[in-house]
Amino acid sequence: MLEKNVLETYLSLCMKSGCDFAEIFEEDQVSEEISMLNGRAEKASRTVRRGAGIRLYTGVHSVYGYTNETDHDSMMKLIDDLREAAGKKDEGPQVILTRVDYENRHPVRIQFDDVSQEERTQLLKRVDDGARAVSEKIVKVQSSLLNVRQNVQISNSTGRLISDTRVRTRIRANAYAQEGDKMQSGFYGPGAGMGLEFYETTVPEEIGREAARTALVNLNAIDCPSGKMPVVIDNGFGGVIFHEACGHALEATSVARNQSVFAGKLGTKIANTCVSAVDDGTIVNAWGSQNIDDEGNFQQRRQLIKDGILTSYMIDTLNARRMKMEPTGSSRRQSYQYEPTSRMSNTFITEGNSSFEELFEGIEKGLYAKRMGGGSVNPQTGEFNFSVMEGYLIENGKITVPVKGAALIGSGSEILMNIEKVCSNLSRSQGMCGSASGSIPTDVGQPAILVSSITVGGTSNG
Amino acid sequence: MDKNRWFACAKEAGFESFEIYQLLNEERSFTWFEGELDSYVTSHVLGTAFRGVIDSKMVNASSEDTSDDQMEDVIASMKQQAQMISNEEKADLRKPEEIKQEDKQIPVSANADVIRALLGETEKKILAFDERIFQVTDLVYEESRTIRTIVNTYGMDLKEVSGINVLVAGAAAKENEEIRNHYEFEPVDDAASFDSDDFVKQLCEKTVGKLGASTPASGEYPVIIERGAFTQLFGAYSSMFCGDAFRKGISPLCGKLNEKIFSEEIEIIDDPNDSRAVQRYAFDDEGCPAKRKTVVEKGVLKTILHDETTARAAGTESTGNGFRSGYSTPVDARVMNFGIENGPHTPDELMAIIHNGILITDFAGLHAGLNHVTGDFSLQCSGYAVKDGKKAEGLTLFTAAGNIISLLDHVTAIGNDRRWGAGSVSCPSIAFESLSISGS
Repeated sequence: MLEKNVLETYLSLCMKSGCDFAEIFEEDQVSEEISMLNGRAEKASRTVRRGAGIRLYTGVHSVYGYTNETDHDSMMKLIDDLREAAGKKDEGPQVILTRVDYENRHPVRIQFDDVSQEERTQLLKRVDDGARAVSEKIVKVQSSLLNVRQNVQISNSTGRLISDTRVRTRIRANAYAQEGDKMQSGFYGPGAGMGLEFYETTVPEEIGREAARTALVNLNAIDCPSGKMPVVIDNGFGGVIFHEACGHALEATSVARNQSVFAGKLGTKIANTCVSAVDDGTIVNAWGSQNIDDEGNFQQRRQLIKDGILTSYMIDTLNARRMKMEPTGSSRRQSYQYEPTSRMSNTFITEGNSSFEELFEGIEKGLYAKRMGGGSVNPQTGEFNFSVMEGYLIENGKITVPVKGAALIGSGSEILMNIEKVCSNLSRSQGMCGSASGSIPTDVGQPAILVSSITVGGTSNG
Repeated sequence: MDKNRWFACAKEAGFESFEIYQLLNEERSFTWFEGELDSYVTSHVLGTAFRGVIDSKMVNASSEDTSDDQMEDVIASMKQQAQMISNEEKADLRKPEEIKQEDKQIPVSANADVIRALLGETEKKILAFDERIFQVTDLVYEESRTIRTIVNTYGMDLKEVSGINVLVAGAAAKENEEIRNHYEFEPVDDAASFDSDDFVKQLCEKTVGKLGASTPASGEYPVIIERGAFTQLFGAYSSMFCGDAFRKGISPLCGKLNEKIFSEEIEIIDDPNDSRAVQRYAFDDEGCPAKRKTVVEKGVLKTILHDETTARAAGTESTGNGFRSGYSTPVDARVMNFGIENGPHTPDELMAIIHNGILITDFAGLHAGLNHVTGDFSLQCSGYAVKDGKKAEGLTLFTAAGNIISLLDHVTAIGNDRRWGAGSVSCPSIAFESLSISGS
């Protein structure tokens, strides 16, 4: 990381241009990934990422440059290039930095590189054992362990100098079940903003068992019927529905340019009254949490929707200027190689009053989506899709046979109005979210919900 | 970085062979919004990846800090890795061999004024094309230059320079409160002489064509999947032709080598150095020379695409498909300039052939709605109805479900409209007997 006086020199030089704000983002990240196939560790890689990104604002416009050659000459060349683009000037304010200290909300007890490689690999062996113990039909198990430690230092022309260390770990397990010539897979991939102490409570064997269980259910699943029907979406990764159908369209990236179905809708009803939702980047040791966002502002808990009324967007400082609103500490990026923008952190629908059983009452024919896969959205039209990884038919109020190959599609504004009941079994799940500023860790989540009508795309038209 | 010092340090640590792979990437990107340059991004990134073989096991590391004081740490951590890995096959790096490198055309780097003019004019043309187009949502011009080098202790010393310029635009159209949008990408050889008329026409026609779309009734329909959409779908399944999925036994094509898997009209070729492609590579990321492979001939699976590791596991030779998806990602067997060859029919003829059915122009959710083990898919789509052999009203918010292998085994006719874009996969439009459509 660069010294304070060096940063002051660079930032002061940046300000000798048409810009009115300058920022330097420095990153030093170590990560490792170990992968195992059928009980044998077969690949391991260690990556060191070290570089800096410099951003200048001129009103609502920005210039951004990044490099991993951070020696003085390379940095001066980059700054010169950016000043040229922003319009060079001979004069500019002198930047004096003051370090901002704070209490780390996300303490880590066991750093991954304090534990031997054998012990780290052993975690995956336990995943493998857990999956195989479920059934002889589990013929292949593939798993990987990802550990990341990212140090960032952010300084800007307002005099702010602040640092953060983000530690993450995640195990991803794929189990393959075979019967005759049929093969199906199941996936489970929990993670946290923690060190390896995470696996003391999230037991590796259980990760393997859960992946195996899903694979076995899918082995016996029938083709999913098509058409519009009521759908009960269970908790945890089910929250991907809110992430896609609503979350992305509440990011300033699309709202500021009037490219969102929810632009201009603050204070209006956009969801059924039973729906309240938050984006909370402060949850202790959560996968999508940080002490500070990637512009150096403290992470916040944002109430996005309260009793169906839109109460907040997620806003970064550049789009805040365009929107003439306050930033919400929502600026994130994959690495110094991305200009940051407004992104989600841990986003979820909060608990409602219905019991799990009540969600199914009176449904003659519907779909119970127990586990969801990923999805995507077009924020401009609000049209979204996501896949069901583990689903069952609902017949006369009861969960019956498993179905496979279902996709759910719809439009965000419609689906939020169609959420009729919200249960109280809130849980969150981990995912990687890809958008303008790269791939970042985010939590999705919700309690189980009932959507009165949604288009289910299945393989059976019967 | 003194590479010979790294080699000596690795040798001393007990490595049998050692490789240093570097990717120097420089980019400039210009984003235009509402009549002015909105953002400018410039970058210079040198990534270094190391591979070493010790006790016949291959280990990987990568770093953006290759100063000499890092050397011993990196090599020690690689040695540690080797102790926990267990491989069935003996790993090794490739020995150098002669590789023919033709002079490649690197696109012209334009000056900022030329780029501003191109973006400004393109925006004006898009807005003037149709009064229902109310916003140019995205307009980006990007130049990327890459120098790739591979050196190893066997004496391999390879270097290749490549580059690409791309224009990306998105437009949004509105009619009676309904909003539709669309994006297009186009490689640009020289921004100064680039004529954006065709690009703008294609973008705008597709954007306004989506207005007034309805949802089709559920049922089985004959379909045409347009080249862009089919390229995306086929590309998303491309790993089923690659060695790693065979080695793990999770490709739906396992055990099908030399068997007829698709309709007889299907011909699939992979050639990293294909002269028709926008980006060409004379060798893969392991230093294996590029080869032209017929993957599927008359519907019969002829070749599985391998890197060094998967080839050894299968008891065969690398096909030159060992590529990294970034400098820090380990080598994997991947397709490169791959796809289905053209057939005889124009897109209009394809519609005449299916007579009544659905033309799918866009898929969404390809990263989630595919089952790579079985080949099953269920995806959100949009497109057009085909009535009496002609393109009719727009369709949206429906899903198409099927199985990629069964789909390619029930081909009605293949289009002649294949186009090479910025990606590594390209296919023509293809008409298929039927897909299960779920709509209203």
